[in-house]
Amino acid sequence: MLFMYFIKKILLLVSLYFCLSQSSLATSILEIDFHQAVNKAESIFEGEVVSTSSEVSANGNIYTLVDFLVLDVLSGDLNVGESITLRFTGGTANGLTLNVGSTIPAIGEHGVYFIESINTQLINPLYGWSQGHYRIQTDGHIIAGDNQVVVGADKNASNTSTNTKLSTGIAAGVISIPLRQVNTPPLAPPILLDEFKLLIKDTKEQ
Amino acid sequence: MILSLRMLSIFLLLLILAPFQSAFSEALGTKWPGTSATFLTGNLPAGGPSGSLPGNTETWRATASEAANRWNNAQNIFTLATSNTVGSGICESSGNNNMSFSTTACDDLFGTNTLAITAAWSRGTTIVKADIIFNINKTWGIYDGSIRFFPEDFRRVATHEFGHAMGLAHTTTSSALMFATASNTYLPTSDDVESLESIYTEVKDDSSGSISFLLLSLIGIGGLRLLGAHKKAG
Repeated sequence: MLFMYFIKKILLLVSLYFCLSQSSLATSILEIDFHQAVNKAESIFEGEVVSTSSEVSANGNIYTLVDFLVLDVLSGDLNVGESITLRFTGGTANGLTLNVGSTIPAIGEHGVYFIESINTQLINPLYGWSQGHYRIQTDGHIIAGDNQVVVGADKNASNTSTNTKLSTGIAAGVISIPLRQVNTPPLAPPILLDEFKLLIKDTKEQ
Repeated sequence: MILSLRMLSIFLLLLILAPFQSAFSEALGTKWPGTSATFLTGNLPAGGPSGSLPGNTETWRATASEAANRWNNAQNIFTLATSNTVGSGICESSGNNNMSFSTTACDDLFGTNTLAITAAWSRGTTIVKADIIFNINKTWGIYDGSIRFFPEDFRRVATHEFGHAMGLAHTTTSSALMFATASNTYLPTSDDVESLESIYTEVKDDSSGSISFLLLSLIGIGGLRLLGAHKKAG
């Protein structure tokens, strides 16, 4: 009995490891900064993924439709309590997978989402792809697109580098640390959802 | 006793995971069934950058071939072939592996910040088709050396996207071509080649070793737990 329990635990850990290690980018996205993300996104909302489904076009393109329940609106014309559907290019249908490098929100995911456009069909509707995608853990910590914990954000950050910069998964100015270093002085402690939302509101130009 | 068994179990678990970490950390989890793939460049425009943009004497198609050859010259694990012919099925699940410029990819717009995508279709872990599509709304040139803010370097991005097309993910090694941030690196580095090796080099012995080790470890952990339980009961 104990043996089986232990095997189950190990298999769960190994599966989790594989899932995390394969969530990577496969495309070339320009880096944006936090100020730009907040002010250029059409809408920003806190939401929860209530369902997902796959759609296959006539020529075999695979899309994933993600249905969100809007829990809070930080920017844009959405309403709390409404449901919205975002379409991501990519996904799996009939045993075939199309991967364009998007990290597609999964059922049950709770997050803060920066939308580039709801009505225009984009490969990835999130502004800057993973740079506009923040997952909220049950402990309130926020996980950025680089799979690290957010500890702060510089609302005046700018990526006015003389070089072209491709995204590393996180917007310039957002500070994140590895999960294993959370609450390790002198590193700043993680910011929680309410602080993050306040930061977004403060960064929004009126 | 229980505490030491738990510590031993954690130690064994870390040992089990170690080989998986090194083998999969820089791969997308999919690979081609063989060790070569052919990409058709005939859907790229016949000319090259215009006016005073860097590389205006070179063509997009020849440059795409150069990008493939930069990988071929750096390693002999996987061969990227190119053919200057027009392919079918751009961004469709069947047809050729294509390279093209477009305003859309798979019927959708790129969005403000997207330079190029690699759309890869796979069954299980086997890639069956891949297209590399460049955002025509960006300004492209062709140049080596230090990267500029304007225009984007077509060859560097093409070489990077070929890496994705072969199954490579972004690496955390900042000097590598497959690092997510475009840099002055425009040729595949040893880090990139090692990542490719981890995908395509025959890993039969290693993987069977890992699986054997995993099974032995599980049996060992189970045995220790049973021993602990037996001693506790005794």
